Amino acid sequence: MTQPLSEETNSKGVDLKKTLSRIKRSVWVFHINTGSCNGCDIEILDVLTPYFDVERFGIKLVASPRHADLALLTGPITIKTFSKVYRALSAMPRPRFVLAIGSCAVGGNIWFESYSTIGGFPKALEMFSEMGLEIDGVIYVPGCPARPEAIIYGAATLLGLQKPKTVYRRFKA
Amino acid sequence: MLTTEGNTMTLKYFVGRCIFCGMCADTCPEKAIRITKEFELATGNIFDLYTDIEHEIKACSMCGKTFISKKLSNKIALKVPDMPQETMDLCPDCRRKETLKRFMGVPE
Repeated sequence: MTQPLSEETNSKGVDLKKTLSRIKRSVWVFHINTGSCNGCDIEILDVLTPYFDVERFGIKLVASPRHADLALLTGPITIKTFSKVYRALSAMPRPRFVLAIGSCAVGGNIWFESYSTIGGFPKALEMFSEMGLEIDGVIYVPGCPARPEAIIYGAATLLGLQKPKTVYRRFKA
Repeated sequence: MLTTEGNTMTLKYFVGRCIFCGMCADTCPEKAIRITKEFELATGNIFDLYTDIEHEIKACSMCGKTFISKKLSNKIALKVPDMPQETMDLCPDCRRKETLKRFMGVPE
């Protein structure tokens, strides 16, 4: 396996390269549905089934967050699920990573300012840091639903096998 | 999302709120929006998912209110050639008042 490309440290001052080197082997994933419509969940299933077959890369779905390195988070995080997400993520051993899959998890999608949702993972991340829960790395995978290829690409970005292609752009009309 | 700040209007596009239905591309009168098959959008930094477009905006020559982007104004001027320039420089409210004044001869 190649060396991770990201050498920067995250906001908590954790050396990302060093943390990533600890999950150099197989990445075990845990799936958290936080009020998703099941579109992204089906795409995750697609990724795990023989057509895309990510188990050949060592990515394996586990039943408990205690066994997982990476959480596959789908949905806009409803108020009801927030405490469960907190508990699941705090049960994960360090380094813990999150792959926010789908537009809902990235920015809340059409529920971004709904009364019953947090409005995406970035907002939940702020609340987690206030509550003292540290997340070592987050990768956002937009898409409605995110394509299986996009999810695999997101996982590769997390492991440093791929550089992110999207950058902030500003145009003058 | 549109935000106006001073002399510029910013059109903000955030992929994290897009459901990729393609309705915008279908209804865009200028055919400026296009749906691609690009999917490699994953990133660790949420701000990479934003795209901003800056538009210069025009202020009303009477009340000073900003009301239209310069680009759109020029486009309208091109399509409606017999529109006087003075009318084009007015915001909809002032334009209404001015037209009424011209027809009725309302004294101040």
